[in-house]
Amino acid sequence: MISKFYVLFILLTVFFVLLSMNIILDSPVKAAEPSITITAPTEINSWELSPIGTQPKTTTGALSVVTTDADGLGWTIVATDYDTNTSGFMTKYTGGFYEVGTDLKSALQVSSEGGSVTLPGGGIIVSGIGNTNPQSDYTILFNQIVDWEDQPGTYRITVTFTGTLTP
Amino acid sequence: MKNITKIKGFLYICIILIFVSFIGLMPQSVYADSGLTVNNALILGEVNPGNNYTHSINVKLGTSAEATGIAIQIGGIGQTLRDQYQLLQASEDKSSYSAREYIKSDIANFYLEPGDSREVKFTLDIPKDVGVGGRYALIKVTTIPGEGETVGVITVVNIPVYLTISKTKLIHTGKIDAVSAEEAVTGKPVYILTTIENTGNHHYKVKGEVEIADSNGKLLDTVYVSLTSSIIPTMSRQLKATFIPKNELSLGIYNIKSKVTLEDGTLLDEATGTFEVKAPYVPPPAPAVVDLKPSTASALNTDDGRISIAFPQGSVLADAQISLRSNPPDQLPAAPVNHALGTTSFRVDGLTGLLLKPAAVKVKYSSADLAKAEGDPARLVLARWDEANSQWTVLKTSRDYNTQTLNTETNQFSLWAVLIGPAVSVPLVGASPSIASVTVPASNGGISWWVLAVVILLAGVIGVLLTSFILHKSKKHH
Repeated sequence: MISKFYVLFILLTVFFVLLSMNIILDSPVKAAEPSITITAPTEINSWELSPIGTQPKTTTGALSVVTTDADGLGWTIVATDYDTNTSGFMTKYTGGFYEVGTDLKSALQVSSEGGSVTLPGGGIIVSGIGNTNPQSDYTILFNQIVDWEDQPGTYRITVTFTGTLTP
Repeated sequence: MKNITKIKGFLYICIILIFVSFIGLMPQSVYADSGLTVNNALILGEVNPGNNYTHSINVKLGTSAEATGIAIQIGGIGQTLRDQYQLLQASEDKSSYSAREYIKSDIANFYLEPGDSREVKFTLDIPKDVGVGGRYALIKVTTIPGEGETVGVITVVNIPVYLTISKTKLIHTGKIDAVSAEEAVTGKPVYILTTIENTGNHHYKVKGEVEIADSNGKLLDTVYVSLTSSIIPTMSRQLKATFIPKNELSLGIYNIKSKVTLEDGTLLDEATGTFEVKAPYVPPPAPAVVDLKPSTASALNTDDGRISIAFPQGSVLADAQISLRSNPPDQLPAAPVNHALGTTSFRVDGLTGLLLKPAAVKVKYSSADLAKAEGDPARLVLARWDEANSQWTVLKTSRDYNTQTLNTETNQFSLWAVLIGPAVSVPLVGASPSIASVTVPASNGGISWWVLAVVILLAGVIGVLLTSFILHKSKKHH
């Protein structure tokens, strides 16, 4: 009977300790380790650009942001183009290489509900404060004006989406 | 025999419950499945000269993401006027406040398969002669670009490093470098820009207040700029105030008085400027307008149905045109003590005095308001800005949870906002979420040991009582 008592006692004690720990660890007073998750728009493989019709030509992507343990912090998502081959302009791309200098006349614009920015410098396209609940989803618009003087061909650019928790 | 089976059954239940408890202790993941997650993505805290610190981050790739290389870069930090972070290479990082050289990572590049994660450890060696104030750097976690044919995408997470050298004199000073306005274009707000430079030795947040007066000195409006993120020493920030005139602006010069303060209201600097209206200017139309007459009851409703104000018959002495427009939530005066600003805010113009009979105000709170209240609508209240006394008046607010509306009555109008009141439960420990994250986190997740001891003790007592009760019952059956 004694051994049964001990087994039961230990099991019940462990159970209640873990149960209590669950309650405490889920409370907002735990040590903060703020995190950010960015799901950037997927790569665009096919975007037919033409000087005919309404300008700018637009294609869309989806962006989602998750921040946790970010109470008291802000967060921003910035769109930029860091590549010196393109410097904000879609550039002719042949055989895996850029033809630097042969680019579309107008720079690519990226916009969402937080703002519209022109590459390469770009800027904040969405921002928020604290924790997302559970995640914030945004539509990203890529806007490109195509001019009649732009040469036919395959053009490419790489857009960087940067997330920052801001103290 | 029967009782032994019963006890066995009970033991099995206990084991299952313990297993469930362990599952509960595991980190709860709500992350998007194809994204890049960086946990512990901020280094913010006090450091002592001559000490070493470690900071670990966890870099995780979503299960449906494509495998990618990850690069870790450490550099100096630059801030643009519009709150954009820039990583500065050694050749560009000339700031005496740089912490770039103090930080090393245990790895510079690695590869992640979908669903994989990797811990990256940073060591921070603070020199003995580090000096005073703050030290700053930026860590970048970058994916390798994919092979998109037209538009490739790179995902980056910045980890700002904000170190405060402990027991040194922190100087929070600032200077307004410029006050200007964008061109006043009819039908659009007038944007007023104030550039403030941090001339101190430590980072701080600022808020702004902009007064706009006509050429005769008559005050037209006061616009507020809510608290910014931190500005680091030597960097500048441009505060953008949105001025929506209540009436048309005649041609001529208008005066701007801009004031920038710290979070606690300490004045950093004030400066003046002007802007000129060169062409006839009509403000953007208010989304909701009502002509109020003494003889009839009237209602002012926004098109989206989120805000409605019911004026009873006889609420005014003379005809008045009342307009309602939304107000940018980042352009509100700071929230009163124990409250935070929500995301719903609006301004009602057109009344020159008090209403004779109170109007009923109904505001549908947004999901963003609710999120800020941590899902508890009971914390949401309506507040009105009292322009004469420059303070918020928190109004007695009733709530309809079915229609998600807040209701109150008032006899005066100006700026309105949904505020978040304090949580009903008082936190056990006043832990700030944004301090001392450079120290190795305690293995118990930040719970103080005495709390843990009390929990174990209580659990033990409950365990003894329950065990005794069960065994007593089983003995009785024998």
